[in-house]
Amino acid sequence: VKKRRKIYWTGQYEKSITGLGLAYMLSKKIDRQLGDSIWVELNLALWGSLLEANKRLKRSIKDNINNNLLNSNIT
Amino acid sequence: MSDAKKTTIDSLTEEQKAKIPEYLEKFLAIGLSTAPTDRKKAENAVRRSYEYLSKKDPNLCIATPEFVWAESPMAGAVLAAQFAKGSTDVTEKEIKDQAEQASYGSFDAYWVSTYSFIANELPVEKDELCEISEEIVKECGVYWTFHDLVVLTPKPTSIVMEDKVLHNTEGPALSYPDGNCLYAYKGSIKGSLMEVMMTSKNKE
Repeated sequence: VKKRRKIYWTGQYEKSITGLGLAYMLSKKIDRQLGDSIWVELNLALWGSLLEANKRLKRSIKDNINNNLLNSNIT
Repeated sequence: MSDAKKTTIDSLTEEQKAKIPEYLEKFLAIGLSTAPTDRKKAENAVRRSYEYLSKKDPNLCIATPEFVWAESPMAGAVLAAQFAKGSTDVTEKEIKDQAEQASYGSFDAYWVSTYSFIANELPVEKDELCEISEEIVKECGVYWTFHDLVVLTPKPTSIVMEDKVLHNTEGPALSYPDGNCLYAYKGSIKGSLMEVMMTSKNKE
C-alpha cells in the first residue's frame, strides 16, 4: 500500500476537503451575512427538529468506528 | 455571486418561513436514505469538492483524485488507516483514529439542510460550495480524504428507527452491504442482537 497524504479537519485550517472543512468554509462565507435571530429560528426549525435523528446517526457511526463495535460477518 | 445584499439579514419573511418544511422533508429523506448508492454520482460529487479546493490551494489536493471503495465505514476505516500509514499492518488505534478524520456524507444532511435553505431562499452572497455539499450528502456514505485519493463507502442498506433513534429488536438497526451492522435498543448501541433482546426482556 502506497502511503498517501491524509487530509483531515484540524479546526485550524480553513481550506479542508473534509465534510467539516466544507462546513467551515460555508460558515465563513454565509454566517456573517445573517443575524443571530435567523440562526435561532433556522436551528430550531431544521437542526433541532427531525433532522436531529440524522445527527444522532452520525454520532452512532462515529462512536462505532471509534469503539470498533460494528459487527462484521467478515472474518 | 455579486448580486447579493451586503447588509445583514435579520428576519425571515412569511414566504421564506413557509419553505422550511420543504427543506426539512428533503434533507431528512437524504439523511436517512438507504437507496442504493450510485457510485459514479458519489465519485463525481466528491471530485467536485476536490476541483473546488484545488483551485483555491493547489497544494492541498489534486483536482482528480483516485477513488477506492470499501463496503462499510468499518472496512473504510481500515483502508484509510492503511493508506495513511502506507502499510497493511495497522494497529487498532490507527483504525479508531479514522473516526475523527472521516467525512460523514449523508449523515451530514442535518447541517447542509440549513445552508441549502440559506443559499437557495435568502439573498446571500454564495458560490458553488453549498451545491457541492448538497450533492455530497445526497450521494455519498462515509468517506476519507487524501491529497490524491478518496476512500468511499456506500450509504447504509437499511436503517430501522423508532421515535427518531435507532431501534430494532429483531435484527440490525443499521446495516451495510458487507454485513457490517449496528444493533440498537432505543438509541443505545448494543454489541449483538442477543444483547438487544436481553435488554428488551429486562425492560419488560
